[in-house]
Amino acid sequence: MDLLDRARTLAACPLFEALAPAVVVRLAERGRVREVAPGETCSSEEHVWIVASGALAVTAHGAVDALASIGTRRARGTAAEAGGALGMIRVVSPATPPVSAYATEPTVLVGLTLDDVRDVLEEDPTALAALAEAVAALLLREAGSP
Amino acid sequence: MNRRAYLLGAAMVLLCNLVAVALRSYAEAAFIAEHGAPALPWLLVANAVGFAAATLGYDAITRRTHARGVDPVLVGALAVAAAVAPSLLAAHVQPIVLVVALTALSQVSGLALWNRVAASVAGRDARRMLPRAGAAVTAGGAIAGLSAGVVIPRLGASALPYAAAAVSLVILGIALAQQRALDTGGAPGATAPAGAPPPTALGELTRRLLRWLVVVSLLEAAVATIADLQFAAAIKAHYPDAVAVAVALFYGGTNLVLLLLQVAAVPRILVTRSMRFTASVQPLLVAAGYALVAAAPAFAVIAGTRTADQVLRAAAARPAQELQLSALPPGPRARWKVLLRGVAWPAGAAVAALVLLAVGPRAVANPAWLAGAAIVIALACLLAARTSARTFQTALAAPLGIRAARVTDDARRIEVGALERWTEAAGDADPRTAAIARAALDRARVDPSDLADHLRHDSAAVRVAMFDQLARAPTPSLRNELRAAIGIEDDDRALALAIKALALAGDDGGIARGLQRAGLAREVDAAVATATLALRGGDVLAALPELCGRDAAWAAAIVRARRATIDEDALAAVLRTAAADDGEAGGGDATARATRSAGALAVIARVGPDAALPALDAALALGGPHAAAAITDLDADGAAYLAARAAHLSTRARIALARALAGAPAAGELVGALLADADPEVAYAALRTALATARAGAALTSARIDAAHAAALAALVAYLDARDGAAAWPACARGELDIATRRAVARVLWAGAVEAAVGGGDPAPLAATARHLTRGSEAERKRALDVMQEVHAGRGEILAVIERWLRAPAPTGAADPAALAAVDAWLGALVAGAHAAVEPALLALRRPALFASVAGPALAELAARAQALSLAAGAELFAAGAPGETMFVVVTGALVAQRPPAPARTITAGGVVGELAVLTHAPRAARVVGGPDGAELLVLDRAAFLATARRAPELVLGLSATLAGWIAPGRADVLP
Repeated sequence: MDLLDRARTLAACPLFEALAPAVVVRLAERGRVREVAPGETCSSEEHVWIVASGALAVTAHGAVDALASIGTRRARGTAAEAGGALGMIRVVSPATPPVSAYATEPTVLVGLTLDDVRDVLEEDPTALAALAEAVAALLLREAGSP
Repeated sequence: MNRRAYLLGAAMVLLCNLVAVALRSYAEAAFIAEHGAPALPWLLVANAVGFAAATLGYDAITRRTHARGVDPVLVGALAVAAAVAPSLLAAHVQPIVLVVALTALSQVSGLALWNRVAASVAGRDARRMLPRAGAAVTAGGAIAGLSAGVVIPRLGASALPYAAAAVSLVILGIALAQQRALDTGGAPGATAPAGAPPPTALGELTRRLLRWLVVVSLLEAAVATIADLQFAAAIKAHYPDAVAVAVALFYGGTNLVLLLLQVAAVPRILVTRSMRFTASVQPLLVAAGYALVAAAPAFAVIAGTRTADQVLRAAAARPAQELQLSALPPGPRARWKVLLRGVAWPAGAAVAALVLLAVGPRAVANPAWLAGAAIVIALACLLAARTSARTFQTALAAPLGIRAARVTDDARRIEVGALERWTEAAGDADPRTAAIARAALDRARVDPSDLADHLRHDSAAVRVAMFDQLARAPTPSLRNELRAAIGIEDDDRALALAIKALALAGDDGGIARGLQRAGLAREVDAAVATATLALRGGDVLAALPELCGRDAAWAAAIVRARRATIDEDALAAVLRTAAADDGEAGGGDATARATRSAGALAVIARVGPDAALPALDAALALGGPHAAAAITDLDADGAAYLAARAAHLSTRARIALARALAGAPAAGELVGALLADADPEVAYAALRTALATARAGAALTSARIDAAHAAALAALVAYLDARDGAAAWPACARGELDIATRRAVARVLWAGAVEAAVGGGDPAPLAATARHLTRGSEAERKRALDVMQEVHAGRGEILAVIERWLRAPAPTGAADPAALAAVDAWLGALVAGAHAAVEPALLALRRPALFASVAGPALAELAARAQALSLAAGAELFAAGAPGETMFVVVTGALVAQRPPAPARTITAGGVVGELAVLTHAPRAARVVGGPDGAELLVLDRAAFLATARRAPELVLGLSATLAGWIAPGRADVLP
């Protein structure tokens, strides 16, 4: 994946879809591509991963997830497909535990370090607004606190 | 820092080294007198083995018993050994036994006592004070050496050990007093606190660091052994009848030089320069010294090189290694401090001496051969030292999550295949895809002349993108190629763009070709009409509103081209009218009016006129998307126009401008103009943007960056001066001063990061350091300062002022409000009482973490719009499912949130409710009522909250963090 492919992957992620093109390209410059074979795992310990293609199932987030089928995980939002982001909440809330996930099919990811994402959130208010809305939508789906 | 323990410790190590040097001079002189120079390698081997054995013994004992009991016994043993040494020599005990015993005992005592000095200081104090304690050690050596030079000729060499024994007893007394001082006054730098658990397992990074430090010690010892051997041989040859005096004087002189360095230079180097610099000094200069020895092996050169080796090792290499060990946990740190000096170093010395023995006297007789070997080893040591320093930097930053600097792929290296593919994407029908591809091409700085060869490409999409690129960057030098391409172009969209590109390059050759196709394609007709207007005349003002809605960039180009023929006032009136009619009022084609409004703002941003700028100012201040888009699309000429007028825009508009520029790659000059803005909020936003654009290659001059640096530093110093005199200020003013100071710290570091980015470096580590310095805990901030020294070395004045910020204020007289107002007018006014009306609300808003980092003026604006509300005990604030337009901050009392079957949740003072509704229009998720004593609340409506969020995006960051904290603990961190 070259710079344009990485930029297109990021632009397809709902979190970054409102960013100015120049900001997406800058972010893509800092991203690195990782190809994950089925069964291979990745962790959000040090990176935010954006799924370019394929799918990941979250494993290391509680015994229930570890035992659940991929269909159940999708229903719970614990599977990531193209455009999905792993580790994004951790960027703004460091107490959030990192997740581990394994590829259920050949998967291509674009990885960004936590600091690179923090930088872009501080640089571009539209990215922040998109993240806030994504987190809020998640809360609403789960009928969270007031 | 425990001052008493430190001073006693410094006296203790001074005397200990005095004893060590005196005893070593005595014993080595006796050995040389007995065996001569050829046996010297054996002496070095024996010394090293003895020291290592003694250290291992000390390590074994202190792993079972606390060092506080062992150390006095060690010093007592040293006194006894010194006292009996002359008798043993008289009884024909081999001098080598004496040398080994006395050297091992005195050196291990020195290591043990040094750990006690280190226990009295920590952090940045340790960087400053430990070299001074090192100077005390050196002073001991200098006194011993120089006095021995006087004592030996008068009283004989046998007087030295008796004097050393007496001094050892004094050391014993001081050691006991210092232990009491540590017990009563605290031991902030204790490496092995009493009762500490056994050393924990080391991580991979610290193990790697230790491995490199061991390699450095081994290589350093090997070089020192060669230097010692060569020097001893040279001194024996040079002063055959006065070896002891010469050795003693040499030690004295060496220590004097070292003393000067340790007092004058080393503390400053350790708190300003990076570890890689400090660790490189000694091996590099020693290698250079040996190059001189190889060229001219005179006694003075040999002595000078040996002096450099000894002095720089003690002044730079040792402190560097000691600081690197600070990356280890306390237990292993204490142990490895002793083992590195007492085992690794002697092991390296012993191996080097054995090799020299194996080579034989030929080596000593051939200075050039020895010098060559020393150069190779010193250079290997240099590499190892730099690697260990890099590992230390990584280990230091790792706990904060700060990654090492890295080199990114150069986006400007683009292959022909990729260029074609990117260009094709730039012509994509989907505007978002095309815009991203254009941004990638912009980033790659594709030269328009590179496009000339592709203007006849088979794919119409590629040709569209090429002509579009040339229209965005008019290139008169390609007129002929464009004319030729227009002549054969058969795609209407491509032809329209080609006519535009040629017209913008100042050539009307496309108009005739377009007229041939008149009436066949609307976009070609429009391009011909616009080109005619630009190049052949017509009523620009009449056409301008429609043109603004169709193609703002071309509209601006036409205004530029025809400026001399247009009435400025009429132009301003047309653009103001078009900009003001944004379709919000409804009626007619609202979308078309909104597009025209956005286009008019874009034209104003690029070409003015000045009389129309208030329209742009107002749109920017309101935070509307059209104004932001107008800034994002600025070309270089537009940026230059606005840069010259930015100072006349309102503060709110300048803040919005600075933020919007993050998406404007061509606007480097405008960002630069805002960097040193007099308003701290504007300068803060501009620096953050500059950091983003500088790494993408935005044109920022070093003069602009220097000005930003100077302004940020001056503001920080003014805030700190104010802090020192702010004890009597009201809580609100002190709180706002603290926030403003943190933001000034960020500005200073960001200016450094921008400087690094413009210089081709990676600014990310410094930007991350700024984040930890301004938002982390106290421990994180101290570590971040050390990281900053590593990644931003050489800026001593910045490190000093940030250290001052991290220290407690040093109260002075009352602060000077005028000095504060000069760098922060809003804060100056707050201190003068001009914002007294909003102070209570401002104080209340600062309590929730959500508002903690928002700039004072932005939060004051929100505070001014907040409404007070008293809620009685049990009274309903809102019901579950009710629509919500407001959020509430609890000032006093409490609220109770009820959402059966979940248990009720109490929200106390400083808590916030209702923010989700404000952000998403969602209905209330719970019923909320007043607590047992009721509650005093501040009510914030959506419009006020969003207006502040536009001005201070960190508010949205805080909100995201708050919401993220609510996500169920078992919910995986995956966003769809």
